[in-house]
Amino acid sequence: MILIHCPHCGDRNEDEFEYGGDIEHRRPNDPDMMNDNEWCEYIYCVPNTKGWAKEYWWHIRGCNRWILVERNSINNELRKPDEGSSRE
Amino acid sequence: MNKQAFRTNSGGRIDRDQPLTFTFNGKRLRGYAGDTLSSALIANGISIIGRSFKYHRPRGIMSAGTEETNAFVQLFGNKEEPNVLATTLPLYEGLEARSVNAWPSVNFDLGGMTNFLHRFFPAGFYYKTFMWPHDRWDWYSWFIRKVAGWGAAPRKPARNRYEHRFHHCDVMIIGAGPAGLSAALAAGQSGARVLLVDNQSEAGGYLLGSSAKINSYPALSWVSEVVAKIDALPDVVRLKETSAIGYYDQNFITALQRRPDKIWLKERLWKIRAHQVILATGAIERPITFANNDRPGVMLTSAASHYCLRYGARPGRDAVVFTNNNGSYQHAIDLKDNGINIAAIIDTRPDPDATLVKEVTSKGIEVLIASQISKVIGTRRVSAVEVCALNDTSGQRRIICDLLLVSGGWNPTIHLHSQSGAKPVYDPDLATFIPGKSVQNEVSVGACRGQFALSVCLSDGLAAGHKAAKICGFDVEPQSASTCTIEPDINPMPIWEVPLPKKSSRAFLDFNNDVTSKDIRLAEREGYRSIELIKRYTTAGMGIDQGKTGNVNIIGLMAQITSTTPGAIGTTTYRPAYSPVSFGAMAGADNSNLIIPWRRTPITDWFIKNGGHLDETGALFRRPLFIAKSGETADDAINREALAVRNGVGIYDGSPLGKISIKGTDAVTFLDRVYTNSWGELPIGRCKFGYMLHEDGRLLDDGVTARLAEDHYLMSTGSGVASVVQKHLERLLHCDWPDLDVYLTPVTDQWAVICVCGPLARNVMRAAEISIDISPDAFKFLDTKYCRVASIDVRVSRITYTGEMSFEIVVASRHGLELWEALIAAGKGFDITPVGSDTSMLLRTEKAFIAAGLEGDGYANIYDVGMGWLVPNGKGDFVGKRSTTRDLNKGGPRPEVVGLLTDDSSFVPPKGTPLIDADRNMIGMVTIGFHSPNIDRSIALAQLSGGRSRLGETVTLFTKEKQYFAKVCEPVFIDPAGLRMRD
Amino acid sequence: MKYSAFNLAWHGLRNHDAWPPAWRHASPKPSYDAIIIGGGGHGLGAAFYLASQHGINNIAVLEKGWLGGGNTARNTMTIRDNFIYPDNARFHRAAVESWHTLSNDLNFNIMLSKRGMTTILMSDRDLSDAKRMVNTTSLFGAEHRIINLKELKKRIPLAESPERLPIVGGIHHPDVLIARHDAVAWGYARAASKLGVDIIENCEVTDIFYDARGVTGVQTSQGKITTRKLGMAVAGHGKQVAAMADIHLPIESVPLQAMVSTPIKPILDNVVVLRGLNTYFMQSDKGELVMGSIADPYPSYSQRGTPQIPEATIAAILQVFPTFERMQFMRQWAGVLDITYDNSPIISKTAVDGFYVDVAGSGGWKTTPLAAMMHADLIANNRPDPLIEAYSLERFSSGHLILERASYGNR
Repeated sequence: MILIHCPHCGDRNEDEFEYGGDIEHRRPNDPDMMNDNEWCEYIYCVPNTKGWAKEYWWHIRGCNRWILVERNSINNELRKPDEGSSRE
Repeated sequence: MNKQAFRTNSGGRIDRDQPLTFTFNGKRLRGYAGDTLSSALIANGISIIGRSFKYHRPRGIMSAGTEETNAFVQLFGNKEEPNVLATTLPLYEGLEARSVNAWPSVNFDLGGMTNFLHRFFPAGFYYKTFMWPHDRWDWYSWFIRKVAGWGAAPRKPARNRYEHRFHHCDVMIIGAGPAGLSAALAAGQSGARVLLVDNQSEAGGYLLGSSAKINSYPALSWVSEVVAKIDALPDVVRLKETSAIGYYDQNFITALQRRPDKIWLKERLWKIRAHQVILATGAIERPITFANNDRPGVMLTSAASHYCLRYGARPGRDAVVFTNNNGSYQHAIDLKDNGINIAAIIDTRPDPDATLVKEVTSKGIEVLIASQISKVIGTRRVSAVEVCALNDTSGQRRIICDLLLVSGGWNPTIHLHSQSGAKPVYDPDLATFIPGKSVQNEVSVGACRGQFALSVCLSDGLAAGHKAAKICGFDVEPQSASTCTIEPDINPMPIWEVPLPKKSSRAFLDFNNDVTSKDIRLAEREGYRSIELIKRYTTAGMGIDQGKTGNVNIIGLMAQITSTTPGAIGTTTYRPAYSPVSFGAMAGADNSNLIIPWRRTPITDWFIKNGGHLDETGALFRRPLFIAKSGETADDAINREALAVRNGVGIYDGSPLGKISIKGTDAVTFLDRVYTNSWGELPIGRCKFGYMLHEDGRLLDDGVTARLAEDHYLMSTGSGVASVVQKHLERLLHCDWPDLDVYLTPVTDQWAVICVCGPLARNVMRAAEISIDISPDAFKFLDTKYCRVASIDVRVSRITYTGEMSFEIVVASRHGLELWEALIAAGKGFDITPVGSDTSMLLRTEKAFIAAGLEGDGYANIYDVGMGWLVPNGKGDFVGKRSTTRDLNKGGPRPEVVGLLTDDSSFVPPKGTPLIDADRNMIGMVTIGFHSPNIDRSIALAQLSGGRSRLGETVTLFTKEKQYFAKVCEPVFIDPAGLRMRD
Repeated sequence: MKYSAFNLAWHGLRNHDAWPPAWRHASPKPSYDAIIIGGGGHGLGAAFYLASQHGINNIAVLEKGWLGGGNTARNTMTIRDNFIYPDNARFHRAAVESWHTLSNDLNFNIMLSKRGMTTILMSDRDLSDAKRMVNTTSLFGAEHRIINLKELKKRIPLAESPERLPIVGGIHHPDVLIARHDAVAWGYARAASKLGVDIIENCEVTDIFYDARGVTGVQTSQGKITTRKLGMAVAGHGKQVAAMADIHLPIESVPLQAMVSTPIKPILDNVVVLRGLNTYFMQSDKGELVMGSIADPYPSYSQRGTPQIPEATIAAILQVFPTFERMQFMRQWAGVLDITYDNSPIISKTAVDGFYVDVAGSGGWKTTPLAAMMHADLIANNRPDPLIEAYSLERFSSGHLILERASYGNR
């Protein structure tokens, strides 16, 4: 039961959130400019970082915003990311 | 009834005015309130409590706490329960307990045969045999399983109540011994919110079984003073009989409270989030490994002291103490003072603390230094021990005794520290593992960090309590520490195994799983060198006690065998639960209807009353599949409902339909990017159908979106995928397109949806006094309008999921049932028929309205299901577009949606029936099949490899029982031009 | 030294002092004909089959920790074939078959029991999905049968129908097996070692070398080793290891938790699956109930586990088995699965010649012998057996994924 810091609500249990993926895996700006291999790589290969990664978490049972969280995937240690929420 | 022959005449924390009766193995016995089952058994002179797991050796009580490795019992009566620890079970009136793992009785156990044949059952013996005849392990295991296992599963549900409780605090302290109490006092007096949990029935920890003095008074008066102070603090919660069992991420700790304050509550599981954690969990004394060290009557020294002083129960009359450390001397004196004759102290060290030796000698206790016990005599109870010098095993001396007290040193209880993610380290001076570097906000104090002296425990706790509170913002200097006599360091001499006198002798390390030192040697010899492999090969440390007493001895022995240090061997992984937790407590109140929520629509109860057959339909809804009249079968009901919709009028509860309100100036841009089709030209008051794709091109959802105002759209989604779609859209908005001015609100539960459909739908709407003109020209297909029906404010749309002329009425949920009943009443003259989900599914199958979940099967793309016309040429980027422009046929033909007409028109192919070619290759599958009453034959939709080019061909349907044939056809079975819905 | 009842007795009379090590503890040679990364069931198995079926004996298995310490040590022992996509149904059927002679092939008792499995269905929807599974798998030779309430009650007398999710029937899977998981790694290690395979523990691969012609070797914590054939059979870190050869695998590492009760006398032969509650459990030979449910909801390499999964799993079991109320939860743990994008295995060549990968996809315990055999065959012959053609990495560019829902749902 990890404790996630929501910049809008404070520290909350993980069951208020849904995991939203690694921010490295953001949608490309212009998919049409990518060749098939690049596109497949984007679609199928998530970063799956071992160690610290910046992630989106959705505070669905809270303020309903998507927040950025830095999590160490080795031991689930958390720290506040340097950026705030992506959308106010 | 026996009198309690081993009870002291006075003293102890038991209530001698409150006698209790209980039975053990059918024998009626007596004890006192304040006893545990084990202390009561000891007071009654019962020495064999159970039989061991593998060799069925008689076993007695070894400890006085959660570390117990032998004394498991089965409870009977109205509290039936297997594998209960006698050492932590408070005695109650009428308790019925029996030994486990013994047949026919614990005193005469036939399973004991294995003990005589033990040489053929070394560690891992089963890996080397039972392979003949080939494949017959099942046969052998039938016998092996019978002799394995401990207690028996209860036969009746107990039906107790449990609950979970969340708790937040600044400082959590685990353990109410001297260190924990000091910490709680310091932290509590600072004003911090403190939680103190302890697994005993009263605070004090090891002081409960000790004669120590604090401030020159008996330590227990200090305990009651501190407890009184702590309990008076408003922000301190103290829980007794509560074991911390799991230490998870970010100081999340679970703790089991065994006898909560509520009479109706069996147990409560606390889920605690603490800012700072102070571990004051004490230490566990460890046994010594020597021949027959498992005999009843062999007990940990501190445990004997505990039984004597705390419970007034003497574990024996004539005791020998076998030790390697200074800690046992005071225990020997305490026991002697309480009427147990101490025949001798056998100390392995050549130079034990002189003061201590002098002190015990003055009490008439003989001390044999540099000596060891080579053997225990007696099978069912210790009758004597053989003592020899450490270096010279020849000079044997036999000492008669009925109790052998052992102390191989102390293991700090580092379980929770280790569960927190920290790595324990080996301390050669203490010959044990102590806490390493903390990785969470926790600190260990007192004995659980290897500081065994009472004076240090007191000051340690005080300092840690102060510091933890200070970190939380409560900086109040604690009152000065209490004083007590300074004890010598325990100064243990590591002794991992006393040499065995004979080849056939056995010395036990893991008593619970019957693992001997020979087993460890065998495993090492066979190459299982990692401690994890040793554990798995020999099962050492895998028993109910999870190796609390045995593990460090095993690590030490491995180090000795391989000539390395225990630190280099390392520990196995400590994991929750520290001590076992009942399933009931784990589940808490999550039972009955609470196990998963049941989402209801305003009309659900109406269906329950009127014959609706409810089933799970996704998103936690239970909806009617059909609404049967009395005497009708499911098929009858579905046929009747389907005919009514095509020929008369039906009414359907579509409330579970996902609904997302979309507002903002960029709403059109947003819709363009998430749907395959274009949305710019949609006028206010009109609806449009759209397909939504995953980024990888697979179908995600389909549905109708209505434009309600300039910047306001309402999207409907499949009911099962509503939350998936919402997450998909929210993520895009928040993370990928934060520049778009669009806001989403899920409104599924706010609006009820009622569909009136069929050729007579218009008549029903008029009968229900709809406030607008609904003639075909005034209210067209795909129009949506606010109006009133039966005097209720609603929005009505001309959209359909059945292919019939339909009115979809959206109404505030609180008016849902009212409107439903009004429509039923208005439709009475037209024989309006309530329709269930199965019928609705049949109707959409007749029309081949593609369902992303069924025809897509989580796999197909938009072209596969024949909906490619919804992807306009030249449209800009939308989610999934790039994937649909890849060369999708690189890997051969795609699965495409077709219709199937079976040769046997009465055979309805079940969902998922494989389609096969002549070589039995699977070339597709039925996605849905029904008997259509409207064309009076079976119809089906299917995914078929390259199916669009196979129209007219015959395919084979494979079922487990039989094969069938069907003709591939266009998938629309009724009204292919779609005239009815546009009527 | 053959393992047999006779030899056990013979050694018993001699105090078991003369048993040789089960496998040689080798140090790496400078070069091998083939190297397998990963000393779990899949990796040791691949080495065993390379040596026993393809005559390649100059092999090393490199294990960064202790043998079988990954998912081989952490699964719930169940071997099943209830998969509904053709390629998976075929492969898993053959995989179940591949277990039957393993104890004898290895001369190591892996304690294979044909316990059977009963899936408890708790809605009409489950029942309709069950028909799909039964029909599809029977096309590939698997034996599954829908059973009615009466037969279900006979097979699993302790099960009671909960109010919220009433039981409507079940599926009986007679062919489902369980085996002693650790023993599989040890058995393969012993048999492979006997055939000359070097098993090197505490040897972590830190880099993979390749040139235009393909793989040339690996850097390890015990030095550099050259080879022209390299197989990868790691769990939990497939992404990282393959990345050393610049191969990007479509993998996400997700913990799957399991837990056990204290041991009790036998009450249950079958593996039981509660379909509507995504929960399964069985009773081990030792008497513990071994339980599990869904994978964790977010990726992680942490093997520590969370409180909520055991609570939910046990709550679900208690719904259907109310007599278990006073049973006791004893221990929990977690393994890290390399979940592929479509939940199906990858047993494939890669863009680097001579570098092959065996990724389980959604937990590889159940396919261990067959996957290892196929991986070995692929390494030896450089072309896939028809059974694993569908498991090629190519499918992620062709779009022909095998989106196997059963991997999650039918456990």
